Amino acid sequence: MNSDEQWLADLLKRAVPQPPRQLTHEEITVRHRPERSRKGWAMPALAAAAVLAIGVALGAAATRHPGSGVPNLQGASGPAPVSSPATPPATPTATPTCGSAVIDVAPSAPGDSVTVPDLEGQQLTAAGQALVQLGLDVRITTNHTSAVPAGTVTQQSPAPGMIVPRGATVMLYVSDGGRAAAPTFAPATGAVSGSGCGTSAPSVVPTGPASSSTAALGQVRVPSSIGMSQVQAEQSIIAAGFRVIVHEEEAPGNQAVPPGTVWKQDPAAATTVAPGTTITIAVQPMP
Amino acid sequence: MGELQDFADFVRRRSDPMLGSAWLLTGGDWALAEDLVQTALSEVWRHWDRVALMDAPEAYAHKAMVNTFLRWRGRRWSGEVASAELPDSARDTGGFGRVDTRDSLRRALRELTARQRAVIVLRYFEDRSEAETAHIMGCSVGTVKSQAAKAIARLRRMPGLADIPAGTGGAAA
Repeated sequence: MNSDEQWLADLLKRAVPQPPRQLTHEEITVRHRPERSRKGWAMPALAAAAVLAIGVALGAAATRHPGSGVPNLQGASGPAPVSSPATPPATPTATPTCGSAVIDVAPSAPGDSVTVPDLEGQQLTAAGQALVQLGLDVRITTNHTSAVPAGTVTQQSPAPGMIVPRGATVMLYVSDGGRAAAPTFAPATGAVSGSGCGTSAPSVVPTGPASSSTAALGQVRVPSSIGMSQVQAEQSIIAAGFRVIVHEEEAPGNQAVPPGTVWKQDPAAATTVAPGTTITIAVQPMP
Repeated sequence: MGELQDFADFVRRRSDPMLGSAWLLTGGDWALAEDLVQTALSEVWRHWDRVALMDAPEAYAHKAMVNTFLRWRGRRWSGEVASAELPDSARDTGGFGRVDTRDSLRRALRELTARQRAVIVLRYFEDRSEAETAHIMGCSVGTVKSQAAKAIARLRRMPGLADIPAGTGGAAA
């Protein structure tokens, strides 16, 4: 290696940050497309899981949207579940409502659109398989919570009942069961301002003799991500050498926080911690 | 289900190194990097009965990742467009050297072509030989050499990177 090559090798190795999280095999195996499956057990299991998931989703969707009728859970063609519950391949007639937003999707080509099932509370594997079976793509994000067992879907986007084109991506937020030993949120204290966009630069704080004896060589100051968009916050936290866990949580009613904005973080800004510490941020959910 | 257990172990072991390479390939974008690694690993899982018996299953996984990256380059990410998205906050670092270095590198990577990025990641981050790199990318050793030389020349001219001496600077933590 010449000196330029050595320079680049050093630079690359030094600059790559620690990944924010470790991938798990579940998020890979559920992306496994059934039509490409060569595993003997996969097909029956997939079909069964999908039918089960759709059954649950039907029930849940029906109670959730009493005014809009039962959403059509299947496109008319494509890799739909083989033994479907007796649902005629009708075109969607109702415009389902989702929160306050009215989804205006013209179902001109019913084979190309599907209704997103309700997957919250289900196990990731079943949920992912149900989506794949409907011809939807799956992306998974870990949600740090111990409120529900690990592997349970806590949130999804788009919401149940939405009509989306086949091949669209559905985001699943999956509980880690509180496994990542991140600190849990303390109740929010003080007012949260929506304008604290400037990241305070993390600076190396020399550990004086008075501070904790367990502290290693240097500690760093936690940047503020309050008021940033989720992506902005993630990037600046990671760029500053920390790990990040994103957590969707509604701000208390007296705080006007725009959706997608970070309104709480733990540890708090300006706290001094070890480099690489996990910072948990709370993002205001989309309405 | 030993097969699934083996794969789970493999994912756990390879997650960090693959994500590191993917971070460089994608010009420092964790979301894209995770997507890339997940896609590559699902390719590995699809052929797991065969891959598990290989001498170097991780080499297969990295090959799958680089191939996926090169196949996707036009569709999912292209080098030049993304630099405007970098948050300003990451630049204003008050002298925290590593963040400066990292941010400069992200900008610089996005100036390279996808093939140049792939070559430098394989050669200088993963420390693979020219022959191995050529094999993974499905090109000749000559191409590896010329792409690497072009990438280095380009990076050497980048402001913010060129003045970083080897082995020093930036390592603040």
